[in-house]
Amino acid sequence: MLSRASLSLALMMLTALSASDVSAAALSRGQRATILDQLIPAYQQGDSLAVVRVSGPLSRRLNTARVEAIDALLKQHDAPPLGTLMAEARLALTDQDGVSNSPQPNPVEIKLIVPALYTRVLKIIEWAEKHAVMAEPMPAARDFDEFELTLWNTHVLQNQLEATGRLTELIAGWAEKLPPRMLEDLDAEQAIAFRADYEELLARFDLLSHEVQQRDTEIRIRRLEFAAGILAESKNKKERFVAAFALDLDARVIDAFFVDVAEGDIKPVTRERLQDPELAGHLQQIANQGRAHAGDLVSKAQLLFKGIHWWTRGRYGSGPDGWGLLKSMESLKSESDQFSLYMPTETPIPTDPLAGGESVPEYDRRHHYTWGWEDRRIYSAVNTNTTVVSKKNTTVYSMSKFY
Amino acid sequence: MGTVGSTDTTVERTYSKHLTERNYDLVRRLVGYYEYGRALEHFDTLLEQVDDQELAAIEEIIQGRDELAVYTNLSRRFQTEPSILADSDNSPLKGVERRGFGWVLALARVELGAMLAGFTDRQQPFAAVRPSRYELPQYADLLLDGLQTHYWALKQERDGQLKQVVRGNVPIQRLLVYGRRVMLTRAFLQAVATIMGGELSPNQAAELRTWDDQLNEVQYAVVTSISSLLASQTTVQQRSSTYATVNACGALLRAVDEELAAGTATVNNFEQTTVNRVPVGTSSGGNSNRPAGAPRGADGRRGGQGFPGRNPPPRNPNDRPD
Repeated sequence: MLSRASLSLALMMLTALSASDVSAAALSRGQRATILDQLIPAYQQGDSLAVVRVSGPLSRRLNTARVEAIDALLKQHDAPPLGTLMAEARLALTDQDGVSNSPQPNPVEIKLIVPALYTRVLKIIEWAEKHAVMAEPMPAARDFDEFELTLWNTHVLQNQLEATGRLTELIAGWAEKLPPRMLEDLDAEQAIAFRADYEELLARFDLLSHEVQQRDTEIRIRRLEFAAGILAESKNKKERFVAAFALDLDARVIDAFFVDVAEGDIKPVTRERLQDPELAGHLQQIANQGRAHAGDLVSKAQLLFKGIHWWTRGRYGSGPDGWGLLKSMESLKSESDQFSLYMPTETPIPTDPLAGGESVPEYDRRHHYTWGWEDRRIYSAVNTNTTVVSKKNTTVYSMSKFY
Repeated sequence: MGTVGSTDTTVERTYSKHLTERNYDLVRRLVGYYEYGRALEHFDTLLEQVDDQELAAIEEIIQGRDELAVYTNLSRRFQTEPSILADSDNSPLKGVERRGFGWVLALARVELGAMLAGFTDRQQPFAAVRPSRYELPQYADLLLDGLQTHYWALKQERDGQLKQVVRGNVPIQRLLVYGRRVMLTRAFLQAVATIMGGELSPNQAAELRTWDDQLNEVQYAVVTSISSLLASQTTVQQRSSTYATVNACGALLRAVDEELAAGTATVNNFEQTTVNRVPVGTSSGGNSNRPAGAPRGADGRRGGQGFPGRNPPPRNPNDRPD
């Protein structure tokens, strides 16, 4: 997968390549004001959308010397170089749902962004097709931990497919907007990205996504049966807690899946187990028996595992802005918008923050870092006070003849 | 000769700096605010419902999950001086791995309390996330570790960044950031004093008071610097004259009056505006970077005496003075 760093590098090159006038090194007053009054505050507030909105027009007519001058100015204010700022912001907006509000990239940006992101899309497809969840026969789980791991991997795969599908639609739109004269200047790698069949790519995403949904349901059916067995036989409180939660959750998720299929929101099932006409009745029966065996443990288990779920998101989640410490401005709109976070694709194992090296979670304590975020700005106000010093008649005599 | 009409006005424009209003809603942008809040909603309800056997099962589940482990003793990396509040520890510098429901609960509460302290106007932010008796020891441990981390990290900066901050020699944005940091540290201190007050020895309580005094001093310096910067303002005077002159001798004026009386003259109004820019200096509250005696006008030029009609047009009043 293309890393953020390499995309940043590409965009740093973009600003360097856009040199058209190497003679003018100094920044104009307007450019300086734009950087100091808009770009740096937007960066400091972790507002990706504002960074894109400001830096796009700013980058359009920059030469190498001016980029260096801007970078130096940014450095004075503890901000990274312009190219890095732009790359991080654009990628953050691409990954979240703030894309619709962000300005379209200019042609020079398109020329560099599209090939980089197209490569990323291809790698995701390749990764998905070879994923362990897609193996035949499907991997078997022997205990709750293994079920949990398989379902988590399926969840991550599904999320990646959905996000990359959205990204592909976006790239397809941008690719069409490259001016014909620029199409002639593409190198071989760029040309592949701009002439790709994006309709075919999107169809592949649909197919993969549908297959993953069905496999997820099948794994849940197996876990439901396993959990019902535990609740019927085991006296172990820990096992019963886990079984009560799994049974209740899976019964509801499976039910919702078949409702969606019946209503046409999900395409008809193709996997053999899911096509069994006796399946629905069988699942209903074991779910009811399991709930009866669990009693009030179902609600307690829900409180526990939902609590753990939220805690894990707080501990390991990463936002698109402010070095991962912040959510986007969009998140303020509603409670549902608060949900979006980047989560690790594998169950994280925390490391000793004092041991050095890469830290898991990224922030040992969030409060060690968040104090450095300042959202307030300085503005100037003017107070005008007018005093009439003296006033006299302003009539002038204009005469018809000269004396 | 005589001037037959004029209006002189003085327009004084005072440019002042202001901070945008604090938006307390922005706390919701912090990753963890919503998440830890939801987690505690579930956990607190659960704690009220479970019996000892179930609590033991919960402990077993949580202790068995690696991702729920929490490292403590993180403040040691910043400790440069002995402290009565901290255990003396000569072991190699490393964190201590903790597992259990109490640690999970305590971490969520401390993180959430710190977010409320840094980004809202709550007077006692940690009181909003008060622990239950079940996780009180773990909560006190993480709270003290948090206080020590912030306090010692600030102390380490005494000779560097913080020194500049205290003197007000940094951009206001940085002053604001440090203001928040000191405020956060004091909120931790207040919470530690509240939670551990009864358990602290007289010497420990005295050390805590010393820390609070030092933090108070820094906070005062930061607030003073911010206030000085905000108090600085630039005043610009513009003198406008609306006038008309006729060069005429007394005989001529009399002739004019005669023509008017005879109805052979017409009367028009005539206006001409000239602008004199008179910078009156910059009051800086003691923190101006500008050399004394070299005041600047709104356009940033030194001096500012110009000839009528040859100065640039007045600036948009919304322009910044710098």
